[in-house]
Formats: sequence, structure tokens, C-alpha cells
Amino acid sequence: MIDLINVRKTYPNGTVALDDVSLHIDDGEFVFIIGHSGAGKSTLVKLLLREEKATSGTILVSKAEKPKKEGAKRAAYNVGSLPNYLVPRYRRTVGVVFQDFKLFRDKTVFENVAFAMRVIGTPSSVIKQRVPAILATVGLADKQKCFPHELSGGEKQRVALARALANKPQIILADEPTGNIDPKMSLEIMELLMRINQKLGKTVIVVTHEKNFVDYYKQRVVMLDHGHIVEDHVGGYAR
Amino acid sequence: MKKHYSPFYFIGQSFKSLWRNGVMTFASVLVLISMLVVIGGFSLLVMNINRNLEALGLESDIVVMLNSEATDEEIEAVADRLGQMKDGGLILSPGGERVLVGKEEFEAAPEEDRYDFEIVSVTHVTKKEALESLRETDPDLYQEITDENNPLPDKFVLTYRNSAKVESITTEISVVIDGELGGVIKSVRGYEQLVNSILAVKRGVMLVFTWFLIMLGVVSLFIIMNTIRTSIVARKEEIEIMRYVGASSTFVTLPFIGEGFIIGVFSGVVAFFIEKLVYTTVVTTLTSTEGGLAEMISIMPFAEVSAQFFWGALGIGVACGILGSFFSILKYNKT
Repeated sequence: MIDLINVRKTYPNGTVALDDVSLHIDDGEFVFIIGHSGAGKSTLVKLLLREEKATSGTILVSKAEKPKKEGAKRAAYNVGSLPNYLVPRYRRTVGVVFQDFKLFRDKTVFENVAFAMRVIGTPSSVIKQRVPAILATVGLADKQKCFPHELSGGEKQRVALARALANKPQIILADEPTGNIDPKMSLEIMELLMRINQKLGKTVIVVTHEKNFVDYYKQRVVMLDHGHIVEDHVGGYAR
Repeated sequence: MKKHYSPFYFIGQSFKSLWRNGVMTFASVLVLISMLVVIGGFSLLVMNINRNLEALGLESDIVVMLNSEATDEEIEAVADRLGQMKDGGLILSPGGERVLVGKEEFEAAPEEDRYDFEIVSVTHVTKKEALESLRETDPDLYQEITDENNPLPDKFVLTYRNSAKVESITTEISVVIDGELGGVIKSVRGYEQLVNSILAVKRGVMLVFTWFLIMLGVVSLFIIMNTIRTSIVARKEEIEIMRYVGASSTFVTLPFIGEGFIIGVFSGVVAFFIEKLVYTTVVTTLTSTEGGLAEMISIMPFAEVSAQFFWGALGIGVACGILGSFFSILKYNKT
């Protein structure tokens, strides 16, 4: 669950990027965040990743751990007031995919995915078992030993997705995931994101400006404009 | 799940970065080695000066020669005064003057009003004892001299603890006591000039040492900071990814601290061996020259301070390396 309650973000130069935004996303939802440049999409991503802090308002994100008592609600991170030492732990609950992939050029596909697990202290034996399984999920079982420069754009984005899934996050946040790849590959990536949502039950948030996909998948759409939510509906790009 | 962080990962990352920034790494190591060698060199110089000062202090005495006509009462009076200098010292009188007093009065005075000469012993050598001592060295030469026609004066031999106080001791005896007793003292022979010259050299060396230490310390830190900063910039993208996948600050910064540590260890060890080589070469050269400086002064063998120097160089090197890394990552160590 993600809850934004009256969130406002003003940058030091006075630009109001988000103004009194309230948004609730349930566990397992698939949401498109759309809007023109300057609408506030990037700021929303930054706030969710805790790269930036909201000027006012509250952002709550459920913890990945299941509650000990049956039927109890999952505890949540209050992202804005999170102390610095807890930020890395929080980020592990959000798997992130970027337009420019952000892969290590000098690491193989396997190592790129394994790195995310190594960072949080996962034992090598677990890494060796889990990475091939994740790569199979994203359709890259046979590319484990390849380096990023040997892959197509779509394949690179699959590696990024595999890395985002490596630490079993509750949420996958994809920031313009198809921005750097051709239409055919883009469709594959979108399909993969849908599968991750439907089969693995992950909450998927896709920030995009690609009208075609939004229309095609007919999922929940949140439209931002000048820092305000102007549309929140299920269906295509426009109601 | 229990966390498993391999130290090899961090060490590997540190070495990789150092290799990648080869030129800066080389510059850091070079400057740090220079600093450590200079610190070591000055330390050895100061240690040798201290050693010779101590040796000089132990061997040298202040000899107070009395006039040969001095009466027993006058000799007694000088002995009393010197005894006061040894057991007591100077105190500030109510009139604001410094007066020489005995043990009891000295100890009763407030600490800030006391001046201790730090005299260890006062030995009275009578003219008779002096003659006997001469007869022991050459009985034939001195057999004509009897106790009655003995021209030798009485003398007092003082040993002191603190060479810095030689001047005040000789002044007190030759000016104050001699003045009070009406010219009974013929001469006071100390080594104050020599001691003062050595102390002046030591002060000069310490001043230059401190200056070099500060300058090289600042330069070393600056260059190490730049080296680490260069590797941070080179790995900016990598750090960004680490942050997104939830790496803790410790995980991100440890390889950089490791870089500083490696630079420090390497520089410390190399500096130690350079120091050892240079020092032993200089000592060998000095001691192999006949009639050279080494015959007049006492030179400390390197083995005596070897362990101290090794750990010192390593410690200072590592501290500088880690400190440099720490300062440079402070700016980048944010979530």
C-alpha cells in the first residue's frame, strides 16, 4: 500500500512540483502515472525513492515484512520522516527501473542482478540459486554471461527489471521504462511488467508519457498536471 | 536471513579504484611517504639531541673553586649555601625579592613562589683530598707538596638533574653567594654555554619539524582527499545504482575508507624502510670516519627505536589515509 496524503513539494528555487497531492495505491495494483513534462511525475518518483523529501504532507509505504499476527495490517514506512540510516532498508521495498537502465557496464548480466543481492548481504549460495531463476522469469536465462553492451535495449531493460526483482520488493517503480527502446521491445517490457503484477502480485507503478500503452492495457491511470492530480480513473489515456 | 558481507569484496573494490586512479594514488603515496620520512628524520634528530643532552647532563658537573686563602668559616658558609640550593631553593620574599632558603622554609612557601635548582648532589673536595687525588695520579711529581704548603683550593662539585638550570645555578653561586660572602669563590665552571647551544639547536629543530609536519600533513591530507574524490567521481554512477538497490552508507563508503587505509599502510611500511636505510647509512658513514663526529657524540642505533618507528609510521600513515578518505566522502555520504 502506498498513501500520499496532502503532499506538497516546493524546490528551493520556488517551483511547486506537487501541490496538495493525495493518492492511495493498494497492494497488487497496476498504475500508470501520466502527464506532460513538468507535471510532477519525476518529483513523485523522487519522493517515493526518498531522493527528495516532501515539503509538507505524508507518504506512507507498507513494509515488505508480513505482520506477525494474522489479520493485522502491515506496518508502514513514513517516508518523509524516515531517519537516514533507515533509507537503504526502505529502498529495498521498492524495485526501481529507469529509462537509461543504469546497469554496470563492466559486470555480466548475472553479476548485475547478483550485485543488488550482494549489497544487502545475501549469501553467495542464495545468490547462485536465485539469480538464474529471476533471469528465467524475465526471459534472459541464456544471457547470464553477456555484458550489457552485448544486449539490445529491451534486453537491458529486462536485466534492470530482474535486478529490481532481486530483493523481492513489494513495489516495482518503472520510470519511463520504454523511453529508450524500440516499440516492439517496449511492448515486451510492458508485457513483462503486467506479468510481474499479475503472477507475482507486485504493485507496479509505471511512469510514462506513452499514450498507446496506457490505452492498450486499460489499467488505473493517474494524470498529473502542474503538480495536481487531474484524473484518476481506470481505462485509457483519457476517460 | 543472516547478512553476509565479504571483506574481499571491499578490499577488491579498494584496490580496483586505486589502480584506476593510478596517478593520483601514486601522488598520494609519494607525499605521504615524504611526510613520514621527514617526521621520522626529525624524530631521530631530536632523539639523538636528547640522548646527547642527557649524556652531557650526567657526565658534566659544576665545579665551584674557592680561593686558596678561604678560611674554614668561609668554606663552611659556602657549604651551607650550596646545601640550601640542593635541599631548598629560591622563594619570593614578602618584599618581592628572591631569597635562598633551606628545605623547611622552601617547602612551606607556596608552590608558585618557589624556584628549585634541581641539584642532585653537592660534594665538598677539601684541598687535602684534592692533593691526595693528584698524588694517586703521579706520586713522584707531588711528593714535595705537603699539607702545609698545599696550594690547591677547596672545591665543591655539584651534579644537577636539569641542564636547562645550569645558567641559574652558576649565576646564583658566582653572583649572589659570592657577593654575600665577600669574594670567597674563585670560579664557577659549568657547561651552560654548550648546553644552551644544544638547547637552541633543539628548539630550532623542533620549530622546523613542527612547520614541516603541519605543511606536509596538510598537503598529504589534501592529496589523499583528491585521490579519493577522484575515485568517487569515477564511480558516481555505480554509487547511484548502489543507493537505488538499497545499499547502506557503510557498504558504499567502506571501499573508499579502504583506499585510504591501503595508501596509509603502504606509505607507512615504505617510509619505515627508507628511514631505516637512510639512517643506518648516515650512521655507518659517521662511525667509519676516524676522528669524526661519531667519536664526540653518542649516536642512537636504529634497532633501539625500530619497533617504535615501524608502528609510528604505520599508525600515522593509516590515520592520514583514513582521515583523508573520511573528509572526502563526508560530502557524498548522503542518502
